[in-house]
Amino acid sequence: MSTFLTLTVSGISLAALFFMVSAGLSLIFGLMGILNFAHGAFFLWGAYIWFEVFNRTGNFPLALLAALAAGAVLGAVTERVFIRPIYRRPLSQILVTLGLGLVLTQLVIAIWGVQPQYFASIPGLSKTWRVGDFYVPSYKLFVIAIGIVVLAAVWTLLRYTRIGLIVRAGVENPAMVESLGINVRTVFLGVFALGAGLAALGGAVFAPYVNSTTTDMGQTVLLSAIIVVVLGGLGSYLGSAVGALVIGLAQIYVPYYTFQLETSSLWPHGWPTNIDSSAASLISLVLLVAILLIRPQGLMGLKLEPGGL
Amino acid sequence: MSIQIPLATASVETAKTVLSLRNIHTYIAGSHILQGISLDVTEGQTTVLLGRNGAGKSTTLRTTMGNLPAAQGSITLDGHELRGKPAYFAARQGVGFVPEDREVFVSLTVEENLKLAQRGGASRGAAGIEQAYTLFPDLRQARSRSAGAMSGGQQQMLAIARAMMNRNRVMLVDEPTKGLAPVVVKQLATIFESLRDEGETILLVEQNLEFAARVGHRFYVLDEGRIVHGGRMDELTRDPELLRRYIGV
Ligand SMILES: Nc1ncnc2c1ncn2[C@@H]1O[C@H](COP(=O)(O)OP(=O)(O)OP(=O)(O)O)[C@@H](O)[C@H]1O
Ligand SMILES: [Mg+2]
Repeated sequence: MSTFLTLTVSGISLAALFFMVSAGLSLIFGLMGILNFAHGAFFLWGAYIWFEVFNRTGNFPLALLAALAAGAVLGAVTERVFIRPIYRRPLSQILVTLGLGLVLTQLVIAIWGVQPQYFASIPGLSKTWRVGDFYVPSYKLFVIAIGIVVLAAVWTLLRYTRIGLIVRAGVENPAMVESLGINVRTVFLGVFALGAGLAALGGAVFAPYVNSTTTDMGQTVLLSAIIVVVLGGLGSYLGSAVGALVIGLAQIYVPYYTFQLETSSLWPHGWPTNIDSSAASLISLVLLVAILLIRPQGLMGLKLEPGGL
Repeated sequence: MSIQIPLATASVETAKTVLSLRNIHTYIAGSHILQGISLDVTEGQTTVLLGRNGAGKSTTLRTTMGNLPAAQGSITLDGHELRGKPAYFAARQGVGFVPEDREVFVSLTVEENLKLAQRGGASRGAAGIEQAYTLFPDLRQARSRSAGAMSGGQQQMLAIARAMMNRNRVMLVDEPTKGLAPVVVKQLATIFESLRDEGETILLVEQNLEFAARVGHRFYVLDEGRIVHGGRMDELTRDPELLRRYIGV
């Protein structure tokens, strides 16, 4: 039982990380019809900006904010310069975002090198509580809390503000929104910047989770995030939260119960080792195929109810 | 073949042209759909655009709105050029749009649909919404329900109300009676009569001739991407040969 609880906390914190990446991915897809393959690179940049600021200042909250801001700026520039000229050209979008993702990743390697970066422990968040066999690292609780704050903040934005109203209408019919006198492109830019900022925040939060930054972390997380988005229903905001929970928990439970790995291999970092992560990817894919067969629109896709997010 | 169509006649009262299209050409996916459309919409009048299925009526409205690019020609609103501008520009200049098939936002509530349309200075604000509810009592009833849950007729009313949320110079309305029950069509006719009597300026695409005759001042007939006839509404209804040729009634 305590093992199960330990795994569950790990799974939920992993879900919180996936959610931060997939929320933006899903909103961008829903509003603009773009599957942004550069999203993993925003995550990666978030991790490295966080590392740089934290390493220099030792100020953890400042480093998180810096990553969020850098991601938003990177997203805004990306939308304006690379995405805007190729709206409604899906093939170009795939090529451009894939290419951009590679370039941004290479830039990280050029600046920081391929070797992982290590850093001091996070002040106030390095403790692990233990009740019998139930381990709760405080950092994982922090990650869960951040995930909940992001979930609630974006939900409030979508549900209760004019910008949110425009985004929800835009997901349904951007041309009609424009015919009402609203410049949809500006909203696209804002959503792209927000999505990229959240992905970068995800990367920043993720680095201490695995105690290092590595240049391949963007790609790994992008795959999971895409699965989360499809699973949750393309363009559905709450769907991506549900999808993240399913994938996060599955990626922790399955390797453990399938291969009977020691809980210690998931603790304190909770990020699957190589064997685990291929098993985790496999189970994600199996889940994805199963859901797509039963509910091709995803778990929460195409909800036609008021306030359907 | 080139027919000279008399454009809005400078009639007895000094009627002002609000919206004016000159020699508009529009291509969709490489096909030449509009082949030189010219028409005028006079202030305070309802101008009806008639024509068979596929004649290019919706394309004319969507081109005017800016949702489709015109390859050539000019579209002016109170003398200001709209061609080459995005749809939000036309809307902000005072073009209200009720598209074919209504296009209400089904994932939003009725009231959210109305609020979305309200923009800053031009908006009629809470009074505008109240006015819409007075005009369409069904909408008041359904205000916090999903627009997707409403009947076709109610959705049409919502689409019209939505276009009236701001002070418009002209409203483009595309086949409001399409697919609706006769009783709803009658209701809509009353609405458009009162809009006409209040002096709204409207460009109305309509296939229902009886409806068009009831609410329209002037008409144009569109055929295969060209304007082939135009005049006063009563001239059309008195000319069975014209009706048979272009509209098929
Ligand atoms: N997206 C499109 N792709 C290709 N052709 C199109 C497209 N939209 C319209 N057309 C063509 O353009 C022509 C004019 O269409 P339009 O919708 O303007 O006609 P309409 O007069 O409004 O007809 P209806 O009475 O059926 O609404 C038609 O021949 C139609 O097939
Ligand atoms: Mg049409």
